[in-house]
Amino acid sequence: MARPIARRASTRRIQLLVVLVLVLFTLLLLRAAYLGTVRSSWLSAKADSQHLIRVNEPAERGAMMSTDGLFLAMDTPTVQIIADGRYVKNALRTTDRLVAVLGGSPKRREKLLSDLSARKAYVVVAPNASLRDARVLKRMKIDGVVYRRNSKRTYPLGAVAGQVLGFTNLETRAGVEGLEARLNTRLTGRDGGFTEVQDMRLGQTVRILNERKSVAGQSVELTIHADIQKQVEEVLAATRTKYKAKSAMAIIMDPNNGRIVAMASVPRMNANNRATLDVTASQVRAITDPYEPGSVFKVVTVAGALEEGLTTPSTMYTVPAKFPFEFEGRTRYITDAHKRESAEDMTTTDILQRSSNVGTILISQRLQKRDKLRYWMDRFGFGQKTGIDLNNESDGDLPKTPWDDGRRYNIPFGQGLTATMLQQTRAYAAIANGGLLVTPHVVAAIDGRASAVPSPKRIISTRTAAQLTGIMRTVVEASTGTGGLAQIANYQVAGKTGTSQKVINKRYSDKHFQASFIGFVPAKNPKLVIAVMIDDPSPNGGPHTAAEVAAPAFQTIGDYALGRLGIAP
Amino acid sequence: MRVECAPVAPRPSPRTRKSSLTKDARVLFGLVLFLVSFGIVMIYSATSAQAIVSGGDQFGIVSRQVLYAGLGMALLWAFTHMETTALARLARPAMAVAVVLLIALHVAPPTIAPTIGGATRWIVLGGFQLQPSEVAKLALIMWIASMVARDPRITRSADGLKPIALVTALLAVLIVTEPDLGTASIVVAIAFAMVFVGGAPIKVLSAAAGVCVALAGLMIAVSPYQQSRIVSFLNPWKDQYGGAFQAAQAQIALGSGGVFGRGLGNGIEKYNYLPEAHTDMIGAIIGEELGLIGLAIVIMCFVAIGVLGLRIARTSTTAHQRILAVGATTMVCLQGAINIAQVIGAFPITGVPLPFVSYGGTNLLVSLMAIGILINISKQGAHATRRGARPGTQSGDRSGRNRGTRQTGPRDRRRIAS
Repeated sequence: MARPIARRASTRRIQLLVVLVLVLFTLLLLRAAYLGTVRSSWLSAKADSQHLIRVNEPAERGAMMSTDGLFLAMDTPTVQIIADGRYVKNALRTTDRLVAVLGGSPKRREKLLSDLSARKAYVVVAPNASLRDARVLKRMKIDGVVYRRNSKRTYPLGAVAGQVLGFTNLETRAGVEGLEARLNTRLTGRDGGFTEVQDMRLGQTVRILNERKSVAGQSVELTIHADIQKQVEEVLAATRTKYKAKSAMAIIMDPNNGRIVAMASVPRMNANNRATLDVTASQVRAITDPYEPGSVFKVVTVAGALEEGLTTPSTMYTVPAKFPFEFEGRTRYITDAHKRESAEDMTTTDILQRSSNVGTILISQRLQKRDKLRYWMDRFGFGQKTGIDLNNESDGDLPKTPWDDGRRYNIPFGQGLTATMLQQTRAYAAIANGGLLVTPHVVAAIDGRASAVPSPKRIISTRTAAQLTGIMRTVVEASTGTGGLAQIANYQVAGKTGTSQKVINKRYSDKHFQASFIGFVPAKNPKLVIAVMIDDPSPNGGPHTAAEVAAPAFQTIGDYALGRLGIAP
Repeated sequence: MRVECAPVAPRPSPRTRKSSLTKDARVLFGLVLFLVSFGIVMIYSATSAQAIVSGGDQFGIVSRQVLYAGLGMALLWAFTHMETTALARLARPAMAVAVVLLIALHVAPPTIAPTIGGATRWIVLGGFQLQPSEVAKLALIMWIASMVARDPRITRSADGLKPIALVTALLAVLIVTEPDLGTASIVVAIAFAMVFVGGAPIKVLSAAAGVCVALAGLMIAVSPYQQSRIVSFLNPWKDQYGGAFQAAQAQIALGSGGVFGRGLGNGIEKYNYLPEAHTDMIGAIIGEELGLIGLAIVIMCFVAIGVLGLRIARTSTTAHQRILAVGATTMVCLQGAINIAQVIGAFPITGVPLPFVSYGGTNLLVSLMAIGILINISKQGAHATRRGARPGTQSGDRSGRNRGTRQTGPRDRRRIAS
């Protein structure tokens, strides 16, 4: 047998092992260093993508409040309930427990069960569960179900001022219509959120990183008086129903500063229930849908003539029964709505009071000789946006000059042009406030800071304004006036009726009308200018004139608003 | 004789006498104490957070490790103060126990030898787990060393090596069929290292190594279990959510830790991402929380343990001690190297724990016993030195109690030639 190994040889072999140890561990260290440095960013990215979940915490959207202190639009806190199918222990049991608390159709239950059974990682059980339901569920400690703060846009008064307020996109939460769209950047806050690290097997949050608090959006105070707005809407709805009208709209504005107290149109829109949301009713029709103002417009013609010194309230005109003119090679006639057999002597006051078309043409001829009618239309703001702080405002349509005879003779009494109800209301406000053209607005303040409103512009003298007010009072008060039904007990009302024929198939219809009344009250110191328009009342015959349909609605609305605001007669 | 020597000789300082430990042994013990304590901290980090999340006992696992560490330190102390000859006498009974335990794994009912993750590696009795393959490693070291002690020439020829080869093969087969190819390889490698230092002919070693590699290759070829591990080792990112999940997670842990780590306790992988975070993959948690620096310190510790252990082997006075020291050092270092290699994706994942650091009672006890053996041998060498003999020199050899090693001319010549 061989001899035992010599110590030296053995020592050499041990030294070889030492070298082996050094080499081996050096290689390991190099590999570790490679992973920890060169590969670090790649591996870190992998780590982050599997570890971190970014959770968004939506900011509370600013509220919109009425001037009488009611919430018109607000965010209500809700809880988004999400299930992670990977961590759900028993899909059937979990589904049953969730549905028992949250409710839901059998179809939804089926979908939830199949999602959870398929172990889907992100199943939205309820996007906006109530805090109460969430609390009940949380107490059950269901595995794999997580709760996230959320909020839901609600309109506490339902349809009240629905079109003015507009609505938001349910998913993006951004405003799509009305003030929600217009003031979106102000109403939208800054979302908060955090990065969450979850335990992989248990699905529980083990760490929260980079937490950022959400910043609520700015709140908005409107000039709208919710209670009056509601009343206006109800009166309009009732009137619409009563006369089977297509639609109806109204504005109440403070003539002195342009603050819109109420602005409504029916049919209404309730954004709380998206399933039944009527998109065709989503617009603020008083600013988006211009129409032919009809006799209401005569005031503008008279105002121009008075201001130019071409007439006075007592200037006498001999008004024929018919006004003939040549148009497209044929002789046509303009008559008054109240047909007369013969010519009659009327003052300027009488012409407006009785709403004589022919008389108005006579007055306008004095203006048109100097080519001033178009000027006065512009001056009263027709054909231009009023500058109200709402989207989609229309300019209306003023026919281009030079006018043919048809235009020349029908524009003075409000045919052949269109204007929004707001343009007309503003023009009347200028008469009410002593001659100043104001900028209508619905936003009183944002985040506690009053919104800037352009200063009013004088368009007529106080004298002219006072003369017009006097004439318009007789419209309501005189026995021959057309606006008798607009009288409000204890108050003096100045106003003007307008029954315009609707254009059907390019012709003025004898059956379809738009009945409007615009007036202000109290006449001596006007606080409110109120406009009402009923579109196509009694289309199958029956009461359809402004005197019959619009004036009573004006009376009801005005009476309520005056009382509610405590305005002295 | 030693006792009489002390008062006569003025040279050794009182402190040295009192501790009676060499500097090597003290450093070695310090390193091990550090690794064990560090391991306890890391195990707490890896297990507590998750226990808190799931409502468990945050100290549940770490307190067991502390218990094992205490027990292990007691065993280390015992092995330090044992006569080395006693280690030789204990070798056979130890081997017998190891073989019985390994066989028990294969025949015992699943209540005692449960199959966990496709492998039957533990014997569970009365709430305590025991890993027979760990016992087998230490038993084999003691047994091979005792064989050399009986006849140092046994390692010099193929014939003499036969019994060693047979016993090693028996253990390897019993372990590889658990299956645990990793530990089986370590067992074989330990035997190789011991007989290599014992003077086994290179030819014989090469032939045996060839056979082992061929067998291992065959094992892998016929076992889909092993194949899948190899495949996921070669490209973990292709199957990172399947078979290579653990390997991929370990690398993600290290990479996301970067150089300085996320900070102690700030790791994320321990939240049920990285399987076996507190046992085999504790190195990945160290890398994630303490970065490359933390892992490098652990690697340095094992390098130091290897260098010190082999130095103790070199300066030991008998062939028995020398082989024993080589075996103990190889066991600890190789296991450490393979574990770290697994963590960093340089070796297929085989389920080898990191000695001293990983959670696991048997491995900790066995590793600490191995260190006890090394410190013991270091002490013997120191006594020999103190008596005037310098180990590693001819005079030291001759005056030592080493009855087997004897310097010869040809050996010297060969050394000069090389």
